Parts: sequence; structure tokens; C-alpha cells
Amino acid sequence: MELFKMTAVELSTMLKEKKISSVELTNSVFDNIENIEDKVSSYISLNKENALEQAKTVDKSIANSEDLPPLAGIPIGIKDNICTKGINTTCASKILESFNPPYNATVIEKIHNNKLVITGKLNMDEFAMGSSCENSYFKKTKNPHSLDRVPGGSSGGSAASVSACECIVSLGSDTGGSIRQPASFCGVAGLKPTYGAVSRYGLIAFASSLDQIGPLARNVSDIALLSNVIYGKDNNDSTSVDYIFDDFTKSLVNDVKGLKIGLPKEYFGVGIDDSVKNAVLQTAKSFEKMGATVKEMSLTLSKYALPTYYIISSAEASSNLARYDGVKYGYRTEDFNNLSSLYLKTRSEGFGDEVKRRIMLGTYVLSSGYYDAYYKKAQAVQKMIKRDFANAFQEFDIILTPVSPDTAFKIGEKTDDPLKMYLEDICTVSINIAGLPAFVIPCGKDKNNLPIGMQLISKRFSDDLLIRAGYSYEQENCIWDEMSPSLLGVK
Amino acid sequence: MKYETIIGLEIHSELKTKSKIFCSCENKFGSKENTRCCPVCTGMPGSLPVLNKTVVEYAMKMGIALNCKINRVCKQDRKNYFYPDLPKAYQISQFDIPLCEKGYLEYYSQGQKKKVNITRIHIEEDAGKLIHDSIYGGTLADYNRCGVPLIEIVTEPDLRGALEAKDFLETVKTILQYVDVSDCKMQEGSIRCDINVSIRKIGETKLGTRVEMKNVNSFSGALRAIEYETKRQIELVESGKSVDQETRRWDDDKGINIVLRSKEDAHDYRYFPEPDLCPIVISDEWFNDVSVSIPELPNAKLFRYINELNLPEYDANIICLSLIKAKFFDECVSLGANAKTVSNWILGDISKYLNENNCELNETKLLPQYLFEIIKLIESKAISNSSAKKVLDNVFETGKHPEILVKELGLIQNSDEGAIKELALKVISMNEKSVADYKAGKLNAIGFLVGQAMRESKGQANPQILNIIVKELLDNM
Amino acid sequence: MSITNKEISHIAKLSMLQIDEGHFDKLAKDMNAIVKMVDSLQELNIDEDLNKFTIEGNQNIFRQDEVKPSFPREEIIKNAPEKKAGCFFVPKIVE
Repeated sequence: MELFKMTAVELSTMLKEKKISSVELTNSVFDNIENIEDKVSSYISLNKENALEQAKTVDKSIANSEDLPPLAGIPIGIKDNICTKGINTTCASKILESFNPPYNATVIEKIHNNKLVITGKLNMDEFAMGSSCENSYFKKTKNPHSLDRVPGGSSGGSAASVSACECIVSLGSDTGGSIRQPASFCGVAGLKPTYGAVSRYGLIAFASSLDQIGPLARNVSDIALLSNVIYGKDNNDSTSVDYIFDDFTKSLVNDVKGLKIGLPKEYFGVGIDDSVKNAVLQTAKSFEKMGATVKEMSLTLSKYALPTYYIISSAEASSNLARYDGVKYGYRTEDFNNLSSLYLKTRSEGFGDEVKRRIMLGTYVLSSGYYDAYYKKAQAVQKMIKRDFANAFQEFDIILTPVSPDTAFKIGEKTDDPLKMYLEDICTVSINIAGLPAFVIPCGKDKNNLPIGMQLISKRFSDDLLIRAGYSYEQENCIWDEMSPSLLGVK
Repeated sequence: MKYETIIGLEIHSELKTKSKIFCSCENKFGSKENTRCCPVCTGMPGSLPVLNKTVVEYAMKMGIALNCKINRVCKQDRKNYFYPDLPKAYQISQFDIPLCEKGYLEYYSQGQKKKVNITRIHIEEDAGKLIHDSIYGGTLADYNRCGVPLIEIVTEPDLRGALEAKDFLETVKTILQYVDVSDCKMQEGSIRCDINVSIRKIGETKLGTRVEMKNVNSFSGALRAIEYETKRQIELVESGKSVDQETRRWDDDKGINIVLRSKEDAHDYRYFPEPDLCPIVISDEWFNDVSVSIPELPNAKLFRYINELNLPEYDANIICLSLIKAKFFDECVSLGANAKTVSNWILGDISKYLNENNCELNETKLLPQYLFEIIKLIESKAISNSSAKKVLDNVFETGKHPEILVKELGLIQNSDEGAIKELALKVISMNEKSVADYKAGKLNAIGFLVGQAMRESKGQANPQILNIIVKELLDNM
Repeated sequence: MSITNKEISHIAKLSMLQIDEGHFDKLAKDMNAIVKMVDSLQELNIDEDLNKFTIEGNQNIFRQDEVKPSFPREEIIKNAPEKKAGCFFVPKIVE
């Protein structure tokens, strides 16, 4: 098998045993990128020269029999809203097209310390606002399983690049489902950590109280290894939690006996495609066979999660994006004659339509006269949703749901109606609202051969339980064989 | 005057922490532009704030000193608006749950005790500086000051008249110095003030429309600004017009204010809780630790000076208003000097010197120990009062011990009665006309004779003793 | 509640966004649909308790008052679209 198709856990062993070199591996990945990137368009920018430099350094250390971290020498793609010092970080927006950060995000420092090799910056929906990767200023990423379909969003590039083996693992970010939904659409694994478990320092903010960086990979063990790298308290992030997560590889255990799994009926209702429903229900049966108990339950506030999410995330976004004004960094209009026109034109020319809509909505729900009815109310409903889940977790260890109402839709299918696009998020936003961890792994395909993912949700700080459940499912069901996209040829 | 001026103040004071409020850049005035900056205080994408604990403590100290209720749980909020000196396009401040609330300050103005209620004190970050008339034809933005910690002290509209406002400001400044949370250098902008002014006819209970004035940069400027605005409002009302609720900008050079924005243009700041920061919870232990660290405040000092040391209120007030003077005074008294005597020296010759040389007492060479020595020398009659003033001047110049100076300058006063009697006899014998004048009833001839004797003794004779002896001699002739 | 055109213009102004005449109607339509969706929250009765400020996660996350080196000026202004004399440069503001 070509090196670029293998998993991090396999490659890590081969590197340590000096069967391959990191330079070989990195070149293998870049060869693949050269072959298929014009079809998939996962990357906004490539980092080949630096990557090979980093790979060489790792090879030297291996040659000297130095002790290296588990993922040393493994090529990783980074979503382009995570600040990488010296490498342009654009958020797929015209307004940050030229932004070159003078500092690294904390997770990037950790990536460097663990000696992974950064392949490049991955495409996304502009400022992480979107569910299809069609809102990028630069390009539309395609779903490797069907190039006329979307990879999902906003971490479309992160999911597509992993699926198409244009990197071994990647980092994405998730505010309302932005890791999970593309992971599901592209047939890869994606984890949204407990809120606060991974530092947001250096993650260009969309919705501060909801954003989290998370790993995407082609198997559960890789997710565990990458999580070990990026999790951890950061003194630069006041929302970062003090909890010390145990080594996630300890959770790579095939055992779900006695695990209590709940199926909330609100997530299996009318809006969900039959093929999606059936795939997830099959998964439930599989868990039962493995010794877990599965029971139907109810999360009565489910339908209020979407409005709550759009109010809170848009409000925070409208404030977080106010700094983009053509003064300190990024794009500046040429058509201005005073300060006011500088601001107005820069922002109007620099932001795409979806971003503008969200900023407008956010400003509206915070504005004088509307704050109580919208923002304040949404904060109260958020507390109610948290309690709803807390009650559920009294009885259940894990909640199992679909990831999105459908599988990868066609490019352009939902772009004329923002609300239609927002409905993509109905299964994922409640998790961000409640600050919970959620893990998506593939569990089937629809009649068009498009991947379907399942979503495992647990209570805060039980991320390890998700890894264990996901790993167990992975071991009992050969999910990965059928998830390799055909454009890569036969395995 | 048939109108009274009602004033409320919003005082912004920079806190003298070592580092900024949300990042570790140095909190220092006057560096080259944009050299005390980092991604956090310049609002770079992806940056996040982390609160400086000392900021909370300093704000708490000031809150306790102003008799506020300290909210044991409070939070920070975003105040959103666009301006080039605000890199994030929002200021992290406190909106509905500030750190301190509902306090008061008693102070003196024009000899009377007054009380002002403090609505709230909250913490926030400062914005950068804009330089408008550069040679480049545009405005330059320097972010060194972004993230410098501020407290905002808001008063109820309890002040009446410009003088009260000025005296109140002086007292607040003194307290800031006493609790040592601000260096209060108005010329460096470390204390600024927005002023809310309204007028009403004396006897009316309803408040008039208030006008907010910004850009007041000195206490004397505050006086001028209030007086101007009062006059402006009175003129409006007298001519049948009404006062509009607006924000005006004070121009101290021109002595006028102009409209900045009207009520309709008022910003909608869209306050909401800062999601990047978490609540501040103040335990009993923390509160107590901060409380005990507060030194004796001016009011307590004033009370002690008046009631225990028997200083007149006027004197006591002047000393208390300056932490530096108060410390000096306390030290002298603790060495054993008489309180009133020390007070007289401070209010008199020492203040004169400080004013002439435009300096603070702790910037001179005079130490409390030295003043104590001078006082002792006078009390022991070793030197005369006029000699003492000479000594003081020399101490200011040289920083030498008074005892040494007295010897060097040959100022030891002669109080030996025998020697003085001889001197008196000599002078009397040389001034027969004066003696005759005295005998003829011109009592002030003594003054002349004493003066001559002082000259003869080169100022070293003890004038009181000399006076008594000359009179005795004359009477017995 | 629907959002009027006047409100949309006002919100655009507050957001420092300029909406072209050609785009205005579509934006108004989209905004109204979105606002209608978020309006569903009005169905819920909110316990007054839930409106009180509560501590949901971290509390008292502080830094010690220590100074660390600032970034070099060059790094701070290097991304500025226009800079002069070591500062960010904007059109002249009349105060």
C-alpha cells in the first residue's frame, strides 16, 4: 500500500523501526497531493519546503536513536483558521488573504514540539461559517467520494484531505458541527473535544463560547494519538479547563459491556433521511451485540438548539469580526476618502455574503431593544439545554445520534437558501451549546455510495469514553475498507 | 444666583500595575510607539485575554477606601464600537455587575464637610493613542496604551458647583495615592475625567437635562469646563431655549466646548458578557487580606489630627490631602515633635519652598529627622526663630544635619544672661538719646535698642532675653 | 416579529457594512427567514431563575502581575495595510 494511504499508528511504528523515513513519507503525501489536489481542492496553501525540512530533522533524530514522540514525522494538515507563524492564515476570507501571523496557536506549538510535519493550510467556509465549504473566498473543496458534491463544512478541507489521503491526519475546528458533519460526509473520524479541553489561543475566533479545535483521521487510534498532542490546559486561554485527561491510547480497548446508550427520538424524526436513520439504528444494534444496552429516550428541548445556536454564535461572531477593518492587518479597500468609508468599504468588499448575514443577525440580537428577547433568552435556553443533557447523562453513558439529516449534497444545492443550509446543523449544534464532547465515525453508506457517520455524545470530560466506544465499534465492524474514496484507486 | 450647578463625575484612573490588564506587556508610560505590544493588546486574530490578578486587588482597595460594597461575584463585558484606537473594536469593561457599588466619600470643600455617593467602580482596559496632526496627512495609531488597566469611578450627581467638583477630585486623587494604586500623573494622562453637568433653579427638586463633557485633562481644566458649561446652559434657559442631552468635547486651549454627539447619535454599545473571560469570585479571605492592606485613609487621619493631636481643621486638612506631607508629619510627631509646631512649619516655610521650587516634599533633602532637630534647637533656645529659617533653607540646599549647620553658620544663639547684660549695657551707653526717649515715654525706643544689640551680637543674642534685660536696665535707671 | 427594511439599514450601519441596493431585497428576505427561525424561542416560558447570572464553568482565572518581553514593533505592524512612523495609519480624523 502506498505510504500516504496508511494510518498514523502504522506509520509511526514503521518510522521508529526505520523501515521508512519521514522524508519518504512526506514526499509520498505530496506526490498524492500533486496527483489529485486539482480535483479535490483541499488546500489553500501548501508548505512543502518547510515540511521536508521538518521531516529531515525528524529523520536525523531517528538516525541518532533519539527518543521521539509517537507522531513525530507524521504529515498533518491544518485548517486555515489556526494561526501558524510565518504561514499565511486566511480563514478562507478575502479580508485576511494576506495575514501572516507573528505567532503560533498553542496547538501549533504542541504540533511542533511533537515533531509532526505540517503539509499546508486547509480550505474551509469563510470564518468557519458554513456547512459545505462553499463559502470559501478561494475555492470550493470537493467531496473525494463524489467530486460534484460538498465535503461538508466548515472544516471541509480538513475532512476531504484526510479522506483523500492528502495528509495522514488533520486539525479542524467545530462551533456547530464543523468537524463532525464534514467527517460524516467524507467518511473519516472527527472528534469535537469537551469545550475548554483544547486551547483556543491562536484559533481565529468565530463564536468564543462554542469553538473547539479537534482532530480528524482515518482511524480511531490516530484520533487518540493526535488528541494526546493537542489536549491540555493553556494559561493563555482563560476558558481552558484544568482537567487532566488521561492518555487516550489507554481507551483503545474493545469493551462496551454494560455501556448505557440512549437514542433521543427527536434526532430520528421527520427531517432525517431514511438511509441515515437506518445506518445509525444499525449501529445501535451493533453496540447491543457487543454488550451495551440501547434505549430510546427524549431530549425535549432539541428543537430549540438551532435558534439558540444561531443567536449565540452570531452575536459572538458579530463582535469577534468587528476587528477586521483594514487598519491593522488584512485587506483594505482602495475606495475610501475618510475613516467611515474605509471601514464600510473594506468590510463590505472583504467579507462574503454568509459572513455578512451572520454579522447582521448577531448585531441585531444584541442591539438595543432586542437584547432581552434574543440574546438574553438564548442564554437562558442554553442553561435549559445543558440541564436537559445533564439529566439524560444521569441514566445514559453515551447518546447516539445521526450527524446530519442527509449525506453529502450536490454543490450549489443549498446555496440559494441560507436557512436550508442552517438545517444541516440540527443534529450537531446542541452539543456545542452544552459544551459536550462528540465523536463521529463512519457507520455506513447510502445508495449513492456516500458515507454516513454516527455521532457519539458523552458528558463533559468523558472524551475517553467516546474513544473507547468508537474503538470498539471500529474493531467489530470493518468500517475503513469501504471508506476509501474511489478516486484513489484500488487499495 | 438663582441657579445651582449639579455635577456627576466619571473618573478614569490608570492603575500602576507592572503589566497590562490582559497581557504581560509592560505597563509603562512614554515608550516608542508600538513597542509595548503583543498579539493580545493589539487584538490580533486568535489572541485571548487573561486577567491580571493585581488589577482586581487594586480596584478592590479603592472600592473599600470609598466605602463601596464589593460584589463578591462579578463579570466582565464587551462594549462594542468602531474607532482606530480600539484594536478589537470592543473594549473589555464591566456593565451590569461591576466590582464595586454604592459607596460614598466624605471630603472638605470651602471649609465644609460634604458627602458624595459613589455609584460604582469598575475595571476596564484603556485604548491606544491617536496622533492627529502628523506630517503625513492622516492619523497615526499607537497601541502602547491599549490594555493599560483602568478603574472607572462613577459618582451620583451629588456635587454642587465647580469648586466642589475640584475639591472632590483632589480628594479622590489623594486616596488613590494613599492606597497606592495609581501614580495620578495628570500630565501623563493617568487620571482623566468626564463631567456631567446640569442646572436647575434653586429650590427645584427635579434634575435638569444633563450634558456630558469629555476631554477634561486637568483639575483646573475641570473648573473651567464646568464654569463654561454652566454659563452656556443658563444662557440657553434664560433665552427660552432648552438644554439638549448631548456629549460635548472640552477644548481647554480655546476655553469652549463643542458638540461631539447628540442623544440620537448615541452609541448602541451592544454590551454582552465577555465569553473569553470567566467570573471573578472574591472570597472572604481575599477580601480581608485586601482590607487590612489599606493604610490609614485621609479621613481617618483628619479625624485623628483634629481630635487627638488638636490640630485646627484647616491645617489638618491641608496636610492630609497630601500623602507625602502626611507621612512626613506623622514621622516628625512620632519622633516627639509638637504636632502644631510641625504643622506650622509644613504649612509655612516648607510649603513656600515647595511652591517656589515646584517640587514635592519627598523630592527635597529635608528629612523628618532634620525638622525635628530644628524644632528641638528652637525649643532649647539654642537658636532664634529667624536663625531657624536660615537653617531650614540650608538644609534644603545641602541636606546636612541642622546641628552641624548651626555650628558651621555660627548661628548658636547666646542665651547667657550675663553676656547679654553686658551687651545691653554697652548698647545703652552708646545710645543716650534712645534712653532719654524711653524715659520720656516713647516705649518703642526699646525696640531700637534691642535691634542695635542684635546687630552688635551678629544676631546671636536671644532676642527675648535681651528685650527683658534691656527693659529691666532702663527701668532701673 | 419580522425585521423591517429600516431596521436592516440601521443594523448594517451598526455593523459597519454597506448593503448595495441590488442586494438589499435578498438580504431582507433571508434575514426575515432567519429571524423567524430564531423567534421560535419566544414559545418557551423562561424561569426567572435562569435569567440570573450564574457561574457555569471556570472562575478566577488570573495571571500574576509579571512583565514579559513585548513583540518587536516590526512584528506588530508588519501586516498593516498602511503604516507610517512605526504606527498604523488611517485617514485624518477630525475630533
